[in-house]
Amino acid sequence: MQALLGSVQQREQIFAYLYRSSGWQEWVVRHVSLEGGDEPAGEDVFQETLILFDRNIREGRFTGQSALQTYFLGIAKQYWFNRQRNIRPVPLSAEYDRPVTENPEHLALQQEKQHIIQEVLNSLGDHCKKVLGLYKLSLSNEEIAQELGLSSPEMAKKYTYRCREKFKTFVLGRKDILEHLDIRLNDGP
Amino acid sequence: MDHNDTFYGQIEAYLSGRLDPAQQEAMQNAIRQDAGLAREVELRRLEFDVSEAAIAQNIRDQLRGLRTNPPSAYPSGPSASSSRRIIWVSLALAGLIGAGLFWWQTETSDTSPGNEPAPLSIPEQTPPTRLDTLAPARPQAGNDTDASDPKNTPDARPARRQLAMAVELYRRPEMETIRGVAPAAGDDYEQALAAWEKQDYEAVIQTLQNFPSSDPKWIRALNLRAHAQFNLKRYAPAALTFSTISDSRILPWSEEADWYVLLALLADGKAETAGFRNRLEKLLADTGHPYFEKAQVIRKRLHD
Repeated sequence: MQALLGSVQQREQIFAYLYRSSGWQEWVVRHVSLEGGDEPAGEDVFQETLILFDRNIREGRFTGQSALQTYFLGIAKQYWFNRQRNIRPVPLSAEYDRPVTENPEHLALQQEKQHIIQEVLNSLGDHCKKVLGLYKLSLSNEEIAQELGLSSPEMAKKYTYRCREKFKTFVLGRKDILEHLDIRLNDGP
Repeated sequence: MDHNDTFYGQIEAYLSGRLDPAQQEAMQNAIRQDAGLAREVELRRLEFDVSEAAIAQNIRDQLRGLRTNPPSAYPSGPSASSSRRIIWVSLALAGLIGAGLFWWQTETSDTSPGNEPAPLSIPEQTPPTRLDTLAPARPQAGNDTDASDPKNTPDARPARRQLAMAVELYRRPEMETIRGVAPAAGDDYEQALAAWEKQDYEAVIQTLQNFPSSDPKWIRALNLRAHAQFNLKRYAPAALTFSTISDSRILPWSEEADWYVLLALLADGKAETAGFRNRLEKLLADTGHPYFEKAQVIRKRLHD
């Protein structure tokens, strides 16, 4: 679990381990196959489960009430179940373990949000995508500098600031996105 | 990551659910009463989601790689060095292509600096251009206003202004920036740095003449060489070298080079070329670029 909170290299190593050696991937594929899916669907469920599992661990949502494996497989089962019911046709969000509403308006907003996220991501460019991702992983400036091949932590700080400003400039220049944010404001935090 | 900023730190703690219930409620009240804070929170929430989407994309990419690569290749299998070689060869090829395109876009017949497109094989001893003699460092004595002097013809004056502007805006990079975090004593790059400190620009260029493109410091070497060329007033080769770095998109060098290639082109009197205009517009289109404001200055002054 600590590896997911560690460096980029540690994270990559644990992902490789989970995919290749943990047996979790085979379990998920088998479960999906038994529940009416095929192997590619199983691979897809494993991938999306891993993304959600990683985020939940980083955000401290795993309370330790079960084994990690049980927690992971539980997410996978729930994801496949929801996908079969077509409740969540859009990519997973971090709100997975919050109550899922089937309110059509809520679903429409979720889809719009995913569309906006994709659009903002595309506007940032590969470099800023990477910078923001590293920043979100709570890496130090030194680690970010190392990862990006920058000469100093100060440069990393400068790049992070610049990418965040780029994000902000893009969003503030888009009336439709601001309107979407205002709608979310009315929904409460 | 710098979390010293209390305001943003509070917002991040709120969004991450790290506040205790009383703080959470206080924050919610503050958001209801302060539209500015509410917007900031929503912006930050969106930034969180976008960053998480970037992380998710990275995981998907890694899993895709794991599916297609044999287990022995991970995490640092025998293919790592060959991959690295491929990257450098690709980079060198991209550099060559970029340099060729740059040359095609900007070159005019009267200031041709040479025919060698290879980044570290650019001829240094280029014929002096008429602009070489106009640099502020080498002023012409006495006859600045002589209308019979070809340098003072209406055609030459814009180029002269461009050169003056370029020299004014140029800043010699700081040693700390070009040295990097892990200097290795004794190699060619370190020798070139020593020459750079002594402002022996010819020695810099000579030392880096055969710097291998497979060396991890290659891009640094290219950058140092470009600055040495600029300081020797060899603006056309400097522009070519900077353009290679710029087109490599290797950060942070490429962004620095985005700016310096403009200065080198300006100094070379190429502000009217499509190559210069395209590069300037590209930089101005990126409001987050570190040289965005300076590029605005160039555009304004050229326009004036």
